[in-house]
Order: sequence, then C-alpha cells, then structure tokens
Amino acid sequence: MAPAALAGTGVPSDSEVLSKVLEVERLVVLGYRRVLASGAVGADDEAVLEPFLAHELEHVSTVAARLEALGASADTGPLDVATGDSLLAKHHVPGSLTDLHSSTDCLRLLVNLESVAEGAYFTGLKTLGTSELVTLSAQVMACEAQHWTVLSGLRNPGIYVKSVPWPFVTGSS
Amino acid sequence: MVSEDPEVDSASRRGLLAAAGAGLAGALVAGCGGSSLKAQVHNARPVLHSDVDLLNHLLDLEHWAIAAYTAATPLLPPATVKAGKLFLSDELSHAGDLAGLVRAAGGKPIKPRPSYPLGHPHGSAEVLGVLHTVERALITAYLDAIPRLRPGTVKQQVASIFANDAQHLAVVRAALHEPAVPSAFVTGRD
Repeated sequence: MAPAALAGTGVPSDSEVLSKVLEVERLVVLGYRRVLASGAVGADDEAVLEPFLAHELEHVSTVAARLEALGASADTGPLDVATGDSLLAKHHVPGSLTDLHSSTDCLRLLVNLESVAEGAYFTGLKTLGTSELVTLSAQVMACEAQHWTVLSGLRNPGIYVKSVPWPFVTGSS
Repeated sequence: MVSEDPEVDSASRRGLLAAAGAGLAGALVAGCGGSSLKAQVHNARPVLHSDVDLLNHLLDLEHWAIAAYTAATPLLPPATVKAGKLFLSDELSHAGDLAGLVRAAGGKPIKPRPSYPLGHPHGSAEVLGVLHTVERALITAYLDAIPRLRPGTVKQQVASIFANDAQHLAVVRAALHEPAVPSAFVTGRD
C-alpha cells in the first residue's frame, strides 16, 4: 500500500507499520543479548534462549528486507542500552536492560518483551495492505507467542495456566 | 501497558472470566485496556458475508479439535492432563468466537459432526501425536484464511486465535520431546 494513498486518513502505511515492528524486534534482540550476557540464567535456560535469539535475528532481517522492498530505509544494527531502556519505557515495560541480576529478572524481561512484539504484529494486522505481509506478520506473531509460552514455562514449570493463560493472543502495546 | 508479572495477571484474567461466567465468544478482552476486541469488530466495519464459508471451515476444524481434546485428555500422561483440559477450554472459546463472526456476517455457524476421524492411538505418545496433527491442521488453515479475511479487525481476531493454537502446538511438541519452537516462522509444517 503506497504511503501517498493513505495521506490524511490516519491509517499507517505498510512502511510505517513495518518500521515500528522492526524497532520492537531490535529491542527484543537487545533484550536476549543482555540476558545471555548477564550470567544470571543457568546453562539449561541459556540453551533454550539461544535459538530464540536466532529467531529474533531472523525476524529482524526478514522485516528489514520487506521494508527495503517498499523503498524505505531499514536499520538492522544493534541498539545501544540507553536507547533500549528508553524503548522499554516507551512500551511501558518495567525494569531495565542493566538491572538483570537473577533468572527471575531475566525471564520476566523477556516475557514482557515478547508481549510487546506480539502486540506490534497484532496492531499491524489491522492495516497491512498485502497478503504476503499479513501472512508474515501472523507467522511471526505466533512464533513470539510460542516464545512467550516457553519462557513462561521456564518461570512456572508445569503450570500451564500461566504458560498459556488466555485463549486469544493480542500482546501489549 | 506491560504487566510487572504478566503470567500472574493473565492467569487471574482467565480465572475472573470463568468466575464471571463470561464464556466463549464474549471472552476476548484486549490486553491493554480499552474496549474488547469483539466490540471493536462490531463497532467497525461488518464481517463480510463472502467470508462465511471460510469462517465456517475454521469453525469445523475447531469442532474437530474440541473432539480431539475431549477424547485425548483422559489418556494423556498425568503431567499434561491439566494442559489438555486448558486447551479444550481454549478451543471451545475459539469455536464460540468463530461462530459469533459467522453470525455477524449473516451466516449460520456450522454444527459439530457426529464423529471425527481420530484414529485408534495406543499410548500417550500416539495420543499426543493426534493432538499434534490436529493443531498443525488448524495452523495451516488459519494461515491460509487470515490474509483472505476482511476487514483488518477480523484478520486480527482470527490471528489472535491462530497464535493461541501455536502456543498449544509448542506445548504438545515439548510433551513429545521435540523442540517446542522449531522455526522463526509458524507454518504448521513442523
């Protein structure tokens, strides 16, 4: 959908939607990297988190490629911690990327970041203009929901009502 | 807004809904305050009548999932029985929500069939295998449907169901000792 076609309608263009999603994905990548560098999670949990970081990096590169195909710029470089913390505040995520002293701190941060990622894709689905982008967004949103479930399961082993607490996934804003 | 302790809050929301008797189609509340997603759908453009067949196809598959979880849950390993009950409840919510969309589009929701092909699984691994098959089929069907549905709010509503079924699939895969999240993109092929 061309941005010009949406001028004055209040409806975000596909580029605007994907730019917001890309910013969130880069924040999620930073979150996983900070957690893995913190030394606060055990080796078993690290083995779960490392593939999830790889997934998030795939999301970044895929969304960036779609943005560039739309003629928009797409920064895929790593965010610095100060920018990351300001984005946490923007998305109302409590805590800090420098305040990761325990497994609880780490997993809570990642669960919250996965919620933000779910919400970014969920919001985008309302207005995205092409079938390809809609399908991609749904696929990634579902992947983030699966991450959410596994991360929550690490915090609450065997307590499925906490890992899959809701019959509908909408994420957070 | 993101919760300080999201799972606790979410679990509480599920409990509150049950306590309030808010079931099935009415159960959807946006995660960040504001009006329910269902209300947003009804306050927005109507569900298109041309989508009735597509929505009824999804509803038919949800009826299949309900039958599968109903039959399978008593046969699951003890550690996963609670998950089976929970996921059955989710599928009932999905069916109610889809039936509401069909009605909103001016259609008649498809009814459950008298029986469904669930095979004759022996042992907990085969029972989990049936659930794996069903969840994958749901995911494939949702992915086919979501880009075809109109308007965007209906895409969102159906995608919110799709993502929950993907969560089920992750738990079923883990119970089968397979990677819970094998890919960066949920396709239904894993």
